[in-house]
Amino acid sequence: MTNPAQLIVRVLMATTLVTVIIAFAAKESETETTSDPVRVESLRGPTPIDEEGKPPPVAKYPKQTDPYPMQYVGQPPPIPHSIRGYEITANSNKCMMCHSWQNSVRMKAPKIGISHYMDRDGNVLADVAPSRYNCTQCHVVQANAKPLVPNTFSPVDSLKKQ
Amino acid sequence: MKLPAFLTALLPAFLHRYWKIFTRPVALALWIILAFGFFSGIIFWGGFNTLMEASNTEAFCTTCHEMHDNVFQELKTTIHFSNRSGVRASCPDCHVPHEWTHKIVRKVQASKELWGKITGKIDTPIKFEEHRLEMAKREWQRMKENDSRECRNCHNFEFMDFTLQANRAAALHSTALASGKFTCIDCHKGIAHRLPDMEGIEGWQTERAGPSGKNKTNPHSQ
Amino acid sequence: MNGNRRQFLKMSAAAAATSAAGLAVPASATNLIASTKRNRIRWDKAPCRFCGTGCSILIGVQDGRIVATKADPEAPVNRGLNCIKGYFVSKGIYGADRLTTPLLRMSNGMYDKEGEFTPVSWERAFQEMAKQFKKVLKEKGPTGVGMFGSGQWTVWEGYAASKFMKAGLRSNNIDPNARHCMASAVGGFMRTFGIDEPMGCYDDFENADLFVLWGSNMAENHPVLWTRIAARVLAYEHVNVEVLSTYRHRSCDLAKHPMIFKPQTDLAIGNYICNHIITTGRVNMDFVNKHTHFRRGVTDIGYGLRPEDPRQQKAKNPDSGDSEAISLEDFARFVSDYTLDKTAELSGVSPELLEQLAEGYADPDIKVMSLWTMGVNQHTRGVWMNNIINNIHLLTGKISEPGCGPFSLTGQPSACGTAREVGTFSHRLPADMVVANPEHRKKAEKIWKLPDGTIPEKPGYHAVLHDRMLKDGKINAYWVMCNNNLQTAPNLDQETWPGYRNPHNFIVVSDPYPTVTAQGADLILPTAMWVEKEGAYGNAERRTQFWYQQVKAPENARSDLWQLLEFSKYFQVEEVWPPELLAKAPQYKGKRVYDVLYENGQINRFPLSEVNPDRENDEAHHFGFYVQKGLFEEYATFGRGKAHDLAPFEMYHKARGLRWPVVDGEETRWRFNEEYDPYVPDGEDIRFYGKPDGKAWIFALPYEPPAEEPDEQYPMWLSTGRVLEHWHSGSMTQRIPELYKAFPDALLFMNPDDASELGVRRGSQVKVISRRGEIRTRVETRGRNRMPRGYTFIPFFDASQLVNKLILDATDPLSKQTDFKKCAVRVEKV
Repeated sequence: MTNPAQLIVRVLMATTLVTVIIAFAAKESETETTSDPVRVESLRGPTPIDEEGKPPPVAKYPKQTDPYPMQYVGQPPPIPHSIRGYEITANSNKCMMCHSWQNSVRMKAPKIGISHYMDRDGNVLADVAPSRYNCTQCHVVQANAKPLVPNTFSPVDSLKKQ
Repeated sequence: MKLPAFLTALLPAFLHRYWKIFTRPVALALWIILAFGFFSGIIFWGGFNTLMEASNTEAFCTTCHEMHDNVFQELKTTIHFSNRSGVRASCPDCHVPHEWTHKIVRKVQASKELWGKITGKIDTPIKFEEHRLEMAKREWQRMKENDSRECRNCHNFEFMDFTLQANRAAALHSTALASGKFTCIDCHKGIAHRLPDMEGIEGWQTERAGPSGKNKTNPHSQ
Repeated sequence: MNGNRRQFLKMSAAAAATSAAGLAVPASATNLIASTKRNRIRWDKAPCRFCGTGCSILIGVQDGRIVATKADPEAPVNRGLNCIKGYFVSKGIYGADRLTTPLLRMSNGMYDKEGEFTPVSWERAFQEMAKQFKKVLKEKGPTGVGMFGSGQWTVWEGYAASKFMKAGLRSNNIDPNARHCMASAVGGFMRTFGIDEPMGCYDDFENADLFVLWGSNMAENHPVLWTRIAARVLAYEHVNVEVLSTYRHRSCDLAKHPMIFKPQTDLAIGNYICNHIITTGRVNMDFVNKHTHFRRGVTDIGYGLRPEDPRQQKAKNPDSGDSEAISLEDFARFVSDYTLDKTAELSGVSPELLEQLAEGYADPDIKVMSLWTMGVNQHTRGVWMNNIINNIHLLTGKISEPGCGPFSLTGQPSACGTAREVGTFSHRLPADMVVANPEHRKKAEKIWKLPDGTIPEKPGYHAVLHDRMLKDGKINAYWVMCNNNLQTAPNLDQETWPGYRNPHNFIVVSDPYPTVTAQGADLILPTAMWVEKEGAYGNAERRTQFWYQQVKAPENARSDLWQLLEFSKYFQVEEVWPPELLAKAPQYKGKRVYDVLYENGQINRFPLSEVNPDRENDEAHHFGFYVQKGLFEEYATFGRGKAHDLAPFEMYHKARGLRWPVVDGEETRWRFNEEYDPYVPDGEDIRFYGKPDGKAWIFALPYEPPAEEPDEQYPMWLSTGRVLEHWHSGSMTQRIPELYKAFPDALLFMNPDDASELGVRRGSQVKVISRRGEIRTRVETRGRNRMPRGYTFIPFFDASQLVNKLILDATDPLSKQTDFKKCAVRVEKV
């Protein structure tokens, strides 16, 4: 009996030789017998399942960058700057030092959305809603990392990249 | 003891007087005292300084579990502990003035902290949190009053290159800080330790202070 | 004038739309967007594809593609708020590497386990698959085939799958990945109350005074529910949250004094709280006397390991859930061992904090909601721990009323709706029934119009046993649907991978994406996902939510429902049922399994005319009847009148979900309470009607050590889990650029002092080694998780770091749920 590990290495070596992309092959599939094999690669890339690859360096988050283009109205904008050491606790919220309505003009920072002043029941409050305290639940920083696979999502025409 | 005649002739009269005084038997005792004072001064001074320096280290500060388990652990993940260039701040860098007289004053104040240690004022997590605001306020006040002197021991405004700072930092440093209207601690509270409840602290806003405030009653309760 | 006015309006609309997104308005764009057609987006609701919270999302569709997503303001769960995953959920269907055609391992035009993945037609795929399944059925019988399903299946997919396996192929070897997720909560609720799922609901959040998180990190893993807690804790002085955890995480940031305890000692903490309640005289005697019994559970029950494992052999009562009746006094004596000092020492939590926590439970004026997920459930004593939390609420009577109760959160969008309620487990049937009970089987067979004896009585293999049996060659044909088991299952190298590549086994994987599991398959079936089909999910608060198909799946991708029903057409009843069974139902002779199970006069009784004409429904149009409605209505007959009532099908398309039991169109918010629950007889106040005498059971259960603890060779604890930005194995979230970039690679969270002792630092490459294997990763000493000395955490979303291979495949012996939260590892500098 073949060792399963050897077996899979062989299978993977064989499959990686062929690099026809799946989508292309799919169109071919209607004519049953003529399809060429395809390579099936997960987000692991070419590393076999029973081996471990070298981990990439720890991602770097930009200290500061331009605002990110928005994909649709109402999307929480990603954070275009470093937030290392920012405390968001029951005691304090560092983000609000710049982004609250009180401080945003002085700090020349975008102010938080109007929705953040509403409670569950739709009442507009006098100050930011406590339910919105956890800024990083929706607003995240973006590492300088290249996506593993492209995404074909396309926003409405008015928001497509100019 | 008498001076030889040729010396008497050479030396001015006031020295004669001193010679007489110092060579009297009673005065000899004074010599001894002076010498003792001198040497014990050296020992005491050296010892004092050694003690002061020894108590001015992170190792000393963190021998107390109150410091070790709370603020020291909090420091470890911050930029003042671990950063790009490896220049780091230890407890006394920020909390003890570097200049001698200020240092002595701070050290005298620290005797109060010793009393706190003995009486166990902050020796449990709950007690520590209860006093966090009071302790933090004391440090902020000290720094506010001395124009963030301990920050400036390393972060000298004179030599800041704004072009290398993030825009938002450069904008505030070149205006608010430069004008002297604001000092480091005004904006940089909580850079090394977890913050206390910031309600009512200038520039800070917490949701607790917000919409409904801290209601005593719960309208939702059934 | 009129024209000018219209033009002006159009332009302001354009300006508003674009400036909201922070863009300048180029002249050309104004014209484009002003066209009514281009400016119109069709909005419709759907529950989020990710966690068990069950947030409602509004999906914006234009030209057959999703162009926008927003949080549903009308949904009671989330009221216009999502977490970062919810806001980007729609992009999860648009990864560029969607699978679009079946792929079979072949050489020279023939199936070959060592062959290469080759595109084939659905017909060819199903032919091969049927051939393989039939071969195994013939050689080994029904126990030789298996299916691993999902808490992400829609309700009718789980129902169709369960019916196909249990009645069609007559195999109980169907289990969902929910086994790894909340089987212990099921075990806990069943054992204490005799009926599954929380008695309370999310409305408890607005009513409780104290929230206790038992090993749960809601700030990251149930963020929208966390906002409901935040709204209370931050706004009201008297409202607090207590967080119990083995390390400091984001949820700790809302707690005044987070309690960091040593792994497994939650059992002792729970018992201490009971002891405190009793010794301070705060037992709600009236409630306890009227509504509870006391039981002493059997102890030393092993760790769900292979029988030859020494730890298993050492156990006196392996896998036993037996118990005997005791009195309150016996119980008091039992928990009196768990004194404050002893518990503090065992758990490492300071006595004053423990006492404060216990007081919160004991004080009759404080309404307490206990919340937990994987910390309690993925635990070799998970059912016990569930029982102990239930004990605390029963002793104080703080249960089944607004703001009070034990509330288990779920990790998957339909772990409750599909896995638990439909009963896609190897031992269960719909509506809390079990295969081992002849009455229950009979009832199911009757509803299914099948002869007596169709459903096998012996429970099938559970999830962890699936992998062991594949390895041992006991299961040879296996269908994995809607999950990524090779990445998530424990002990990959020793238990799971060998089974998938066992030359005697045929492995089918249905998935939208080429996952690690798909890579390990012999046949890959491309799958339509989420809003590419009409669906239903049930969330953690018993809320069933529906959605319409919004867009078409790419090319030849087909939903799990389509796959299950189509595949059943490849079997004649004669091929899967023995002649004596078929003799009891001669009308089925010569029929396909499909005809017997699905075109049975019940499921196919709703015509296409009932399908919403304004929405796609690929399955209904393919099969020629409203298949989703038919499956749902047949399924609902199991629970109606049995305290699991579901509303009529149409109601769910209109409502933002309804919480069962739905009786006379009214949902039930607090079960077992006369005021809210129609199943409690008048004048009974409280009745735990899951038990025959209406009384819940309080269990005396001790602290027992975990299956593996750090030692000299493997000196550190390891837990695996999730981060906010990624969901489970990341097969969707890692393909959404915003989420990927927010947290691209898994990291080893460890204490900075441990790191410096090892001579490593943030960013250092290290090997993490357990007795099961090793992975390579990088060190993180700061960030969102602050680890105590000797404790490490790695998230499992990263396909390039299969961290769960390090995990011991020990399970709770009662629930069979794996313990992913504690095993021993060694970290080595590379």
